[in-house]
Amino acid sequence: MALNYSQRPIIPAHISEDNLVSPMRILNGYLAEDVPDKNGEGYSKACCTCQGEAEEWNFNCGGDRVDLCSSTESTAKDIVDLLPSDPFGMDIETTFTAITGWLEDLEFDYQGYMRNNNNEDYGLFAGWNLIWNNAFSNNAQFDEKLNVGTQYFPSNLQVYEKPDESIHTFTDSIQFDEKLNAGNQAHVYREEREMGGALSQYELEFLLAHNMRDIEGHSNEGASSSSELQFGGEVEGAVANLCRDGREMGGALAQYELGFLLAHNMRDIVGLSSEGARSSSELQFGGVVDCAVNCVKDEGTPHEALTFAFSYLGVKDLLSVQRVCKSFCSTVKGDPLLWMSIHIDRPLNERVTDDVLVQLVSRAQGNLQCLSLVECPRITDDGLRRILAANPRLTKLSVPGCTRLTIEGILNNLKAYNSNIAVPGIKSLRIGGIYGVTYEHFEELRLLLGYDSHKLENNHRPHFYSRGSFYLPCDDDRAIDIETCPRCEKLRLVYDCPAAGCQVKDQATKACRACTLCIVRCAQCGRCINDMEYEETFCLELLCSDCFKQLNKYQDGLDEKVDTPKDGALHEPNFCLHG
Amino acid sequence: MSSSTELTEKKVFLLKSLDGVIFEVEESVAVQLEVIRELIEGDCARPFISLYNVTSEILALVIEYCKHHAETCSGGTSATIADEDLKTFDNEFMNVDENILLELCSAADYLDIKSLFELTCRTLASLIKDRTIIEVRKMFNVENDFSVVEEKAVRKEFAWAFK
Repeated sequence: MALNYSQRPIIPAHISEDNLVSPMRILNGYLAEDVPDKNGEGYSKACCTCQGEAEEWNFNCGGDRVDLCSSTESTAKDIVDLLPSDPFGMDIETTFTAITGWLEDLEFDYQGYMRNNNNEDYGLFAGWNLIWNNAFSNNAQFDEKLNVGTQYFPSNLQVYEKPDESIHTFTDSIQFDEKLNAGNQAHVYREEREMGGALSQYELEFLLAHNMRDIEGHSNEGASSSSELQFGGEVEGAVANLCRDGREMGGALAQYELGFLLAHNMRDIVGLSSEGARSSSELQFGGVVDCAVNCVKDEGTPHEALTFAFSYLGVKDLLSVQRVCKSFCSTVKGDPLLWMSIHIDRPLNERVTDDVLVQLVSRAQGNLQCLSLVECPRITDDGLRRILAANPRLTKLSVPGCTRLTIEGILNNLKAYNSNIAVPGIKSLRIGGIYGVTYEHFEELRLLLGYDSHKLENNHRPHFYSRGSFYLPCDDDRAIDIETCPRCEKLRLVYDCPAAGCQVKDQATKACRACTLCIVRCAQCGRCINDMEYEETFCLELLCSDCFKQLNKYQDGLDEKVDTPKDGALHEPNFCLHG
Repeated sequence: MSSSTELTEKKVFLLKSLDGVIFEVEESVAVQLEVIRELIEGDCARPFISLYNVTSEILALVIEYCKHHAETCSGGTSATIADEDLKTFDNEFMNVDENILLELCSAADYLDIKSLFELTCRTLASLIKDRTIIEVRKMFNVENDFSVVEEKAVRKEFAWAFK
């Protein structure tokens, strides 16, 4: 179950049975997944001088297994202990150039602050049992035993260092100096009576950080030690603050520090290869320091009025807000009214898949009324079918620019959905930007949505083309967004013209009403630029000369406030589709 | 018998805040507080109406808001000008710090003033919008009460949205 070098005769002599094998449990799924490969690799590389012994590094990560009780007893009787120390006469003491003993045995018990939790909580995350002796790096000066036991930690954190006369293949003495410092610091802090629990973790965290770094060093993947040091420093700051405050907050702080520690480990293990993991660990780190600060304030129950505001938040902000604290989380998760209308556009649109959408929509608990997916390229017809099946109250569906949806798929889904008498059926549909819509499709849709094409044609608010609102918004009263372009007679999104002379006042002046292919429009204000000067921007957008001048003016003198056009022809750019 | 005084020809109601300060408001203002309107209609507005959930500081603001809205709406100006006026007033009115905003919001909820409730909610939402979790915590002084495990779980959920 562990990296076990107990065949070395020196070990039983120096380490008490209790601490010979003490599991370090880390509640971190990432660790459980990532460590075996990486570490195995690292160590086996480092072990290249002694391939024969490589098998004896027996590394077991308990994956999903939960290890609740300490394995002290069972491992103390490890059969390896009973074996001869050097059965094959390989003269381990000299072949192993860097094996120096136990760097640490960590017994890390979470009971200190998991008291309130059910023990079964352990099942939520992957248990991880690890014992390793950091044999490659050692330093004779570190013959120090740290033994920190506190009221918060029934099980001690124990660190054993064994000096050894072995050769150093890796020079890690600097790191050990740091570690020593950390240890000492921890001792000093421990004098302050309240901080016991937190500090022992602080210590542990340092040790882990160093261990991970050792691994990295050995696997020659480069060192990120400078950033680690930086981290260490900041946490130290947080701890110091709390010390000064002098309150009893061992439990809370300890948790956050643990979070920090996990972030640390994750990053270190994943190493330089994964940018994503790195940033996520930094995110966690941010949370940690913030939490520590908040602990000191001794306030923090959220104001009830904040939850009132949630109904005005979009999906992204709701998802963000549920990470703020427990009560927000339960409000956001538990209130289906917040999810009655789901609108997804940038920046989430690219990331939303069928599965996550179904998961998201399930929060409405069947009460979804309006679903708007603007340019979500990963949503398929099947995803749409699943959504419709689970949400009988949906009446507004907006899927403009969702390029993986087909018009046939949409039609079939709507047919199946609207044929159910028990549901109100879709009354409003937005399919601008979906390819291949024919007159047959259009007629079928008209029947399905049940609107009268002649009646609705002219009684609606004008829809202007602009950068932020290519598509017709959901709250428009039109049943369907596409229509027959008066010029090319294709079924497309048709825009009105905001220019003063082109406003559609009555049916006679329809001159400036067409799809973007027939009438080219300014990306800023949406007016037609057929017979006037225009500029093409770097993004291949066309701007009318007025808007272009405005843009130049803006860029030339950013401090000058740009006047809005007086004639009402130009509109402020509107990037909000849902208003 | 209500607290109306006959001297001014207008019905005046007395509102008592949590900390005992008594405000005198005209009927046109008072009826905007749905809670009070019910009392008035039921003729239950006794000598004064005690509002146990609102402090004097907040109640003063609420009354200022209602007064302005009542005056603007009955001022006889055209609807568009009144709208513009209210918009600028609302924007300025919302230019307060977060704590007052929160108090206003819960007061509007308690007193059942729909327009103020919506205004404060929108303003709060715009404050939360596009902020990081840490910023939100800081701004509203919310403590992170997740355990490590819970925080991990909640971060794992919908992690795709934060890539």
